[in-house]
Amino acid sequence: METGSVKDVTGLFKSLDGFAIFEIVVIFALALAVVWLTQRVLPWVAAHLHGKRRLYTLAMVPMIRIVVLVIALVMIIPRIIEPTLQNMVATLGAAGLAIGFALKDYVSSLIAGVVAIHEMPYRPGDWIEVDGCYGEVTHIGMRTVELVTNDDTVIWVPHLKLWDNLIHNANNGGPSLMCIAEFYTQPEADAYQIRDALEEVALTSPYLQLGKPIAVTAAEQPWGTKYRLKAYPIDPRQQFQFITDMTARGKKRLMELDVRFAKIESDEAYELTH
Amino acid sequence: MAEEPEKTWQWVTVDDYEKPAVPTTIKIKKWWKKFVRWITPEQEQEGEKEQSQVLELSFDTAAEALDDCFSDWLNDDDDSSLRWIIAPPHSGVEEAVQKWAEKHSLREMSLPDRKSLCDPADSPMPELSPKSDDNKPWIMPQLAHSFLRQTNGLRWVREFFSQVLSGEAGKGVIVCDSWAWAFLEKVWPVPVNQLWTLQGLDQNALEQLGLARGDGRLRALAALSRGNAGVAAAYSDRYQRGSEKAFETPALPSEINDATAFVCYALLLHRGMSKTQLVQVLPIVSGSQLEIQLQVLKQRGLIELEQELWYVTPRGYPVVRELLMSRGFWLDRF
Repeated sequence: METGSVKDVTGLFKSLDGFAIFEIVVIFALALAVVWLTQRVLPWVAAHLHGKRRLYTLAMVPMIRIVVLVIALVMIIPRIIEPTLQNMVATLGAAGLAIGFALKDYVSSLIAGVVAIHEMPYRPGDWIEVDGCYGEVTHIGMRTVELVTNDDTVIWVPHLKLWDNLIHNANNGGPSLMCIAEFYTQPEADAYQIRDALEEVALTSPYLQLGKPIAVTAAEQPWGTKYRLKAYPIDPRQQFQFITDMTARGKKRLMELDVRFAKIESDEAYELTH
Repeated sequence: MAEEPEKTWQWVTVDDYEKPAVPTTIKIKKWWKKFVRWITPEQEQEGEKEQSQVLELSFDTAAEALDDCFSDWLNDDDDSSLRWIIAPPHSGVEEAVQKWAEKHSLREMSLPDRKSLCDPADSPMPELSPKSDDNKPWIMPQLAHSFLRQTNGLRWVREFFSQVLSGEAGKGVIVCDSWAWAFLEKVWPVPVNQLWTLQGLDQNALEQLGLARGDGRLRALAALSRGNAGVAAAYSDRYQRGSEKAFETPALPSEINDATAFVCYALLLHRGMSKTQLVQVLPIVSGSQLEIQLQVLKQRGLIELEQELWYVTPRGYPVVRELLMSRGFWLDRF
């Protein structure tokens, strides 16, 4: 009986001669070389591009990697295992056991990584927020996605967050990313005059993407009125500079119009924020 | 019967404007040149010190050709509609229309003073005299000089659109740079009829201007200039020397950032600006950074200072346009 089981297991695998090992090593090395090359060349090319071209070039990196690795696996497996139904069931069963006990999260991240490449909830160049962390996707790895925040901090987020977390994508693969500059005025101010002035502020910003709409919304708050100036920058990477420009010029313009800004005392501020 | 050759200067509506086709070989050469510039360390390029013997253009014929399009409208006293002439920088349209307007003694509308345009205390408004009995048309020489892209700098042009489109101002011709027009269409998004321009110059038109036919180089010149007469003329010196070398465009600075693109775009949008005006429209760029950008762009031959105003040079125009296109700026139609 025991002899039979050993025979069954050994029957799974082909006898690997020197040439087969050499082939496997060459396939593996070639696949890694192609992946390594695309991960360096494409971001370098993308760094010289802007807008859609940059985003599309960056999005090709994980796509090429998964295609290359699948091809490599398809070429390697028949060189190791006899591809019969019985063998495949036995191999998958053993792999499932290992994954279930020891590598659950790791493999979950790997699978989520494949799903992420297919569903594209984020692509390199996108600005996303996961678990309160906001940043630009700079690299999508097999297990993690790499974000760089505005403060130049790198955050690695495991793909498995994809299963049960909300992913906020600000530009969703395109160059359009809405920016919002907020202004707080006293409630007596003329809302329509402020709206017109703020729209003009956005229209005259050098960062503005002219093909996109500009909008101003107002909402009454206990301490005054809150205005939100919404517009799109030419490039998502300009979002913080764009907001800065709109805020600085918006404040100046409102002061020219003698609009008084809302101010709250420190104890009121404490109450509002706690 | 032999076909009549097409005229060099043809006025067409903006929708009928055709850019000369860009041959595939030129596209490939351009990509290759760009690629080589990326991977090789940049060689310092001398500025445009050489005084080029460029082709002198005369726009008399273009001015005469305008009569064919506008004479009926001009002589019809009952027709008080407007004519808009939109053209890219250096195309010569402004000069041609100016000659035509002088010939017909059109009343020139005065442009606002850019110094007071943004002053919140001062509010200059267009002085459009009431419609006279003989319905004599007027001309706005360059609408791009009537605004500054600044929070207070669009009041005059808005009032202008309001008055002329309501018919208060009577019949008139408005000349506007294509870059300013692309922006003003967003400021005052009312579609207007009768938008005219000069047809783009293809290799045949360039040949009629006095350039001898070459082995595809004339087509390359037409493609490089995008049919723009002034740009083609600026590159014509190299062509006339019979050199086999490709047209050498000015190189972009090695360090390009947002400020570089903003300066170039502002100069095109306003059809030339002084440094003070640039400071007004680009407060996000610091004074010293602005000065640096102007010096670097000038060294590269991309911009020049003329009568206290900075302009994009005719030779630099194709390069600057491409830079702005690659960075996703809102472009003109030409």
